[in-house]
Amino acid sequence: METHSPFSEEDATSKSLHEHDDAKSENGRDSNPQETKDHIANHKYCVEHQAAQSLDVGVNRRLHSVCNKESQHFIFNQELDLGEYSVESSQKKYKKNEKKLIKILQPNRIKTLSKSERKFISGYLMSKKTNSITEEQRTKLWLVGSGAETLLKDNPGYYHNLLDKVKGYPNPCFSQIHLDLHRTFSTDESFYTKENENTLKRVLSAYVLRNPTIGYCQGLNFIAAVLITQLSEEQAFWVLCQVIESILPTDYFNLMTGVIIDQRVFEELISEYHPDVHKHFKKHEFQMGSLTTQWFVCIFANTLKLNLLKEQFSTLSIFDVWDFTITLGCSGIFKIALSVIGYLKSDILKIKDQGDLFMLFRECAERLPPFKDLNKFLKKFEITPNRIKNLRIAFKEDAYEEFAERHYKQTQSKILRSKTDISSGLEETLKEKFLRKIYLYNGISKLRSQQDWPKDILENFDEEVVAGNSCDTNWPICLYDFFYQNKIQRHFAFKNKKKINIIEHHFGEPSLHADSGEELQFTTVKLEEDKIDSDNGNEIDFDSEGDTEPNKLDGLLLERNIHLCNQENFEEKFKLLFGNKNSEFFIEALQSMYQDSGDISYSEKCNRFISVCSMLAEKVPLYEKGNISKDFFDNLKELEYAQRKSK
Amino acid sequence: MEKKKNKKVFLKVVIIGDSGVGKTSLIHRYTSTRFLQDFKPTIGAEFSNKEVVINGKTVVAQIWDTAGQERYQSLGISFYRGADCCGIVFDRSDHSSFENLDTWKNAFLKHGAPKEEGTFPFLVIGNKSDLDDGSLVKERDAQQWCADNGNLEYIETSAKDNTSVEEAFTKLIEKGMEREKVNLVELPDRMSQKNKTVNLQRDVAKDVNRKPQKKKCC
Repeated sequence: METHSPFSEEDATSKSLHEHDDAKSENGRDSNPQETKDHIANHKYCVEHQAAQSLDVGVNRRLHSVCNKESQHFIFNQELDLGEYSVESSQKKYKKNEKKLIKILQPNRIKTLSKSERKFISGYLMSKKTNSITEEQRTKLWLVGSGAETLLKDNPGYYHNLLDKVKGYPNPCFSQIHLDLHRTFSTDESFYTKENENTLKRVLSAYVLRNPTIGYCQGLNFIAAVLITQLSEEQAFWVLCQVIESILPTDYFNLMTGVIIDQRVFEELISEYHPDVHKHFKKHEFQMGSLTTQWFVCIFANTLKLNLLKEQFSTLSIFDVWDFTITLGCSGIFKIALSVIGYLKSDILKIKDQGDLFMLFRECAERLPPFKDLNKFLKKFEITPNRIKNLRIAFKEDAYEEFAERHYKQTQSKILRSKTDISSGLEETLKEKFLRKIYLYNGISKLRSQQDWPKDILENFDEEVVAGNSCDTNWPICLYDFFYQNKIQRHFAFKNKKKINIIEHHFGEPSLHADSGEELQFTTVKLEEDKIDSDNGNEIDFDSEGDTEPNKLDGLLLERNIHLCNQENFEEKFKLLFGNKNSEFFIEALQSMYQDSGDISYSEKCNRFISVCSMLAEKVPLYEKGNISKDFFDNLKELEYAQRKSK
Repeated sequence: MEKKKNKKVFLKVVIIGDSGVGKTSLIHRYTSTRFLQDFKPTIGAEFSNKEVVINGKTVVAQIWDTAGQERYQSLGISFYRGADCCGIVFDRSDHSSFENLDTWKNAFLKHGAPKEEGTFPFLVIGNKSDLDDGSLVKERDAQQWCADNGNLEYIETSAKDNTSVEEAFTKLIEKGMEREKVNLVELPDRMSQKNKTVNLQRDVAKDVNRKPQKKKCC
């Protein structure tokens, strides 16, 4: 139990005292007990004096402390329990703080929280004396804490505009979302309703259109699910955007390099704050990453239970965790994760088997105490956003290097494979396979695969399929951009007010097309120099004082890719992507596709497409065109060489 | 012989495959003999142990369950290392998950980097056989794929009906044990590879166990 407010200056004193106390008890508590006790008592005295409490109380407690034969730490904790003497004055203080909170989180507030407000709220949340925040306050906290309220106000209609576009936009992410809807808190009866499922689907689908680079990543379903229990659908969408784009660092959900880096940061923090656990893990060669990844990816949503119907939590509540995280940003997650490890420490140190360790972590939801009981841990960790940022930078290079090497190999073999698939064959089976890949891309593979197809693939095309192959320029990605999967991985894209920001090679990959990038990526917007260092466009600066408003967005889609099908030099670019042999293949497939459709609205696009393909079929040497970079061909040759060699 | 029986063999089994094909369900069915209708998607990786007696030997199967979404591969790669055998699961009612078998196999070989690329023990598992409405991936097609990809073994299961789940894992474990024997000659090299992920004590246990084995097979 605590006596003094964690929000005022006394907090700092108590913290340093606490640390001092810890240090003492670690350094051998019997060395000079009397002196230590006096020392603490003196400190205590000062604190109390500052808190304007009576001298009598101080003396009383000092006596109490001297009498206590337990460890210093224990004495300290005992002492904090002021008992009846100060109830009145501290209650006054808490009343005052509650009033302050009400004022900060007033219903009509739009402005994002300032740094001092964040500090106050985080202290409030941790304090054992104050009441938990109300549902209304929580809603407000999530909105103004994440900066979503501003975005909501500045972008009316944006969300519904996205939803309109979802209809008919073919994307493989949708089938993944569909797959996961039934697996999101599905055993929790208080959550799992048809209505919630539909809301969840809409929110996640809208995000796919907002940022196709990320699209949908498993884990986001849990995040969105938690959000819709507290917020309206549109609010939930905006907070989701802010969680992905502002609170969590770059690339948590695309290539997930952000997660890899954060795992290293976390391990570093573990070795600092829980060296015994770190040693234990090293000794038994347990992998920290495999255990804690989901804490970070889902902000504990996958680990803890929702328990919507319960009023009082006897275990750690996901909502409390989120209040804290939204208030403090990423450092909040790290603090909680460290606290959880601290709480489970005695159990962890007993475990010698990895399976048992997984079991412990899997079932920790049942064991963890309510949030406020974690506060003795939470306060120990002095983790500022800046600290996290610096650690991330320190681990970034390593992680990227490792990742890039791996990824480079992977991309290379992927391209090689798809090239083999396409060019080696006009045989029927390969053709079917390739066309099915187009379907896959278009997100209707499931639909087709359920029927026993394709016996004669070309006869089976119906309008729906053709519709799936027509492109809408409102969509964030052009459907004729078949190599999207290969090239998009090198970008992290988001849109803020005026421009689309694309962080190219944000993980430093030795790119296949480093120099000819311009042609191949079909993007006209380059990364602004000053944006390189900041991770994100509408980032909230959790570490700076003053107004931190996220940048405003305009009500447009995130147009990551310029539409290939609408571009002047579509032909060249298309040619570049597919090469001669592949184009022959395309002509055949597409001609049949469009002939069978009989739909006039597609004819124009179709003709254009076919004329391109015909041009390609003339086998004009590609390098005769001036705008094609030599590097590209060098790479191509390399690939072809490797291909031949492998045969 | 009596002594030998008490020694445990530790095997690392890795289960991979597309999202939603039933990897977690299969493992859960095998390790806890239950089927849970509603599962959470696996985020990152999960791990469970099962102790079984196979051919008179006590084997502890350390089963790694991995996330199915492709992008999670970048996190899961370290789990592939040091695997003794690998089950690739597809959903027989989802043809695209069957199509992706070679992606998974290649990814495993690349990132797990087992020494014997051509002969590494894989088992292809066609799950959800209970959903038979005539449009399932046919056994013949799956067998064909397996034949074309290094004569892999194929088994059809249903985690829901508990059809052949035990069999599938037993086969996997047997394959893993075969591999152990074959690799005895290259022990030092293998050890160093294994140490990256598996704890030392276990390797010691394995090592102890290997010696009698060696006598047997030579």
